[in-house]
Amino acid sequence: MTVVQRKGVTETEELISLRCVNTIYQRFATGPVMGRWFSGFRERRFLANRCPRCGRTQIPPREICAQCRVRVEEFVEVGPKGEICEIDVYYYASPDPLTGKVRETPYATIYILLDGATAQETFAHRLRREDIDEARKGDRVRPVWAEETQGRFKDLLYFELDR
Amino acid sequence: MAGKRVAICAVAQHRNVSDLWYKRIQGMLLDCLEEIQAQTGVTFDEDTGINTIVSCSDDVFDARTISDAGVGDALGAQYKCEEKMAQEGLNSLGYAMSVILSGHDDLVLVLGHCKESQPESRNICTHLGFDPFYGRPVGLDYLNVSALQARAYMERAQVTEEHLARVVVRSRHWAGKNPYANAREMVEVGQVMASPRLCDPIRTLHAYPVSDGAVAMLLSSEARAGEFTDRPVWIAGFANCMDSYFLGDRDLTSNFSLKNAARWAYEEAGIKDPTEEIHLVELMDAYAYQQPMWMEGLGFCRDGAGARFLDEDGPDRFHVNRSGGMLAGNPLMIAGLYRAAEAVMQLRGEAGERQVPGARKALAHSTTGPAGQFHSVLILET
Amino acid sequence: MKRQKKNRHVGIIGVGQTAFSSHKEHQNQPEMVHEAVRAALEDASLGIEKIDCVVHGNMELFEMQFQPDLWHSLGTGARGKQQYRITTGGTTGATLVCAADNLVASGRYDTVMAIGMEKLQEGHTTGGITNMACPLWHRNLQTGALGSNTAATAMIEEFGADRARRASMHYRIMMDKHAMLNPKAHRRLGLEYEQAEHLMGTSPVLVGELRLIHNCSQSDGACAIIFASEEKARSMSDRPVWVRDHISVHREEAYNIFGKVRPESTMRYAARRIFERNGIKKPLEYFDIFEMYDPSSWWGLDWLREFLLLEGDEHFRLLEAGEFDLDGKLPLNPSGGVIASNPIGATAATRVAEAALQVRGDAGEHQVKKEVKHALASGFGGTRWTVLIMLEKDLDW
Repeated sequence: MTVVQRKGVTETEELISLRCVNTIYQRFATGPVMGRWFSGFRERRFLANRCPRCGRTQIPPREICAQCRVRVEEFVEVGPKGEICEIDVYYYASPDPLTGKVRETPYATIYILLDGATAQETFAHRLRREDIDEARKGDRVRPVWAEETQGRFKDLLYFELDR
Repeated sequence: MAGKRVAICAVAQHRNVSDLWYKRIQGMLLDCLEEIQAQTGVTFDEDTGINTIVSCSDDVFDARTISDAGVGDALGAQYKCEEKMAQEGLNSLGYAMSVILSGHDDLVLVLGHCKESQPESRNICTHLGFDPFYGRPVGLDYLNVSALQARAYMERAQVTEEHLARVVVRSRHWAGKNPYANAREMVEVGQVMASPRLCDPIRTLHAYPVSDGAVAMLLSSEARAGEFTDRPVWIAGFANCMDSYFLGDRDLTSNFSLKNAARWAYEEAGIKDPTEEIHLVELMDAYAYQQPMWMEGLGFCRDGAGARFLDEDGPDRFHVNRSGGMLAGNPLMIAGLYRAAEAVMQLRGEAGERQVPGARKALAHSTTGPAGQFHSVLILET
Repeated sequence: MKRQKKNRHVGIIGVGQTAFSSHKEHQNQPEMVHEAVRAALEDASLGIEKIDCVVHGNMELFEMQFQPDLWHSLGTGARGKQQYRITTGGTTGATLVCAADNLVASGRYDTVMAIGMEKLQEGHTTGGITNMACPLWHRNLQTGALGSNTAATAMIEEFGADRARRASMHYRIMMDKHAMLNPKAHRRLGLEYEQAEHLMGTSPVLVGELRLIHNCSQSDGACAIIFASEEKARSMSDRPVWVRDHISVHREEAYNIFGKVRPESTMRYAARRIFERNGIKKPLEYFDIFEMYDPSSWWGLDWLREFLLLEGDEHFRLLEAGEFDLDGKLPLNPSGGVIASNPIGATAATRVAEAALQVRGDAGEHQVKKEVKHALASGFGGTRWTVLIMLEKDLDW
């Protein structure tokens, strides 16, 4: 509703608004590099790739090293365990853009330096809900995989403290 | 404008395919980047290399907010300037030209990509180009709006189904000689005329096939072109122009924005009569009717004379779309970049079987928006 | 890259902003754009026919409008003109300024109007930003642009929790005080420094140390800026504000930068490069105001050290001594900054517009009292990208 002055007379005018949900289904290609990463997931392994020029590991593996601008073809295994470098505990109930459902709070994203990865690159993933209160920077974590893995991102459920 | 021209030093095209399911966008871009590096030896050195990148992509087609952010590594944008052209890719070249002439940088890498196969329908993407209150509820998208324009144009220019069929046959003829083209199978007039209706009067074979692709180019100042190529292609002129938004506010057959863009580009390039001075034309024909229609707008034949233009072998005489054109399949957001890529190869004498002998001046054209609301014209010369 | 000579100088001769708010139901997108365009043209005393070219930008996945510049042409007046559309996420507004500067400096266009806009209420902001993340994996994890917690924890580690939290809240309240003097600002809460303790304890937590109170707005609005060549600027305006230089620094996706070795921020990298090539050793001394794109008070605080090339706790001490207030050594965000108003596609342009107004002495109630000859404006967005723009009152560098 909005108030409008017309010829000295104040009127309340109802504004029309349109609600609309736009849905466009997408089919995203993984390409060979990410594809290999997901294959690693099927085997419950973390595959990074390593730049031939600067030697840094990249996880997820990427076609190119952004710094050196060369194609990266060598795969290396890292992890499965690692060290928490940063923790973000979320209390904001944001919607999951892939499902539309609101995420349950609190939830935590941890940035993990997986064993064998070079020092500049962490891997981001969720921390087990029950570990949120206890976890600190420097703690060791280990991955928790789905019962049955299919070579998809969701094969990796979360990380938990490696007690 | 001696000493102040902008050169295209190298071009890399990814082959257009209907469904590049086996490669990510980053993979396409890296292929093109490697090709540019191999051709020119250019680096990303802070003093002598690439420091400015003009990318081209569309967030709706990529289904990715800030579509350049996701491919920043493949664009070579690490700790560099990168600006995303969010219109059709030919405008990247026009903008990059200004970047160089401004003195802000003397080297620009242009990298555009688009995967029409990724969304379930490119028509849903273009449907979102219409305003939510009127255009969308009516159900408009770029296909059916083009159909409206096609009907109006065919009537005005006496262009028949047979004319259109011959445009498509010719497109396939040249696409067959273009290793980068998508639709390369030969077709016959009868086949085109009998192909199922897509959106009256546009038939499936009148329409460009869904395509995925990427194009990269290296542009430099005149002073530095020699470092990267011994066959620079100069940008002699560039202009674009916008028409009204609502279809009812436009005369769909007027070519209003194309005529302006062409006129300004010709002026900048010192071209008095394109029919005499331009040796080849690469235009963005998403649908067959657009070939004669845009040729009218570009001044290669009189308004309304499309049928005669086609009858008198206009496309052959003016060497139109030796690449096969957009009809042979380029994704919407970079079809103009592919046109420029072909034009550059022609002017460098690298077009193989498609070569227009002695080509020295070329025109590349693109359009953005429904039924040519916005057009861009690029003039190249050696 | 060896510095080239700029082909010709470029001046800002008009700026126009809509008021920023989350209630613009009375305008559709082209109408809102038109309001800013009209304001800029009026400010410049120009008719639309004098504009050679329009540069448009926003983040279209918020409004879900494909190629919105085509529809917005109803409001930009681009019909019959040349037009470009350049978008770079949150830095869009600043990129539009860079692009307009390049286009005019090139000699090919004499007057260019840049227009940035966003109508966030017509979409879902956090959802829109989350769509930045790679759909194959990170989209499952990302939560909008809530990334400043790591900066907060780093400052807490370096300066102690108490001092860091106080400084961040002081920053926040200072921004609100500035916003209270800016009639265009979206959120003007009327905060007082005495409320700091209370807010630190009660404002809802978004993530980690980042509370709702620290975080930027989600606003609707548009900003138009008119650029002209030196010759035209001098003839059309008695107070053109000159664009001296600009730098954009992008980088790859930033979900991975939290290891034992951290990359240099694009903020510091941009500042180092642009100040070095302009012979500025101490930006804190050189600039008279700084309109910084500060998405949260934590990031804003942290980036002061990055942009001004400070060390240790210099930025904290300056803040605590009031040197970023309107009457301080380097007034920061006299407009209230991004925490007060954030119409994303326009936000970075607004930084430049506000900086230009300060140089002209035209900013009204939030005008800095001392003469403003050298202004700095920044843009932020994408995967932690930075744009820095330098404005000058006089053409004397």
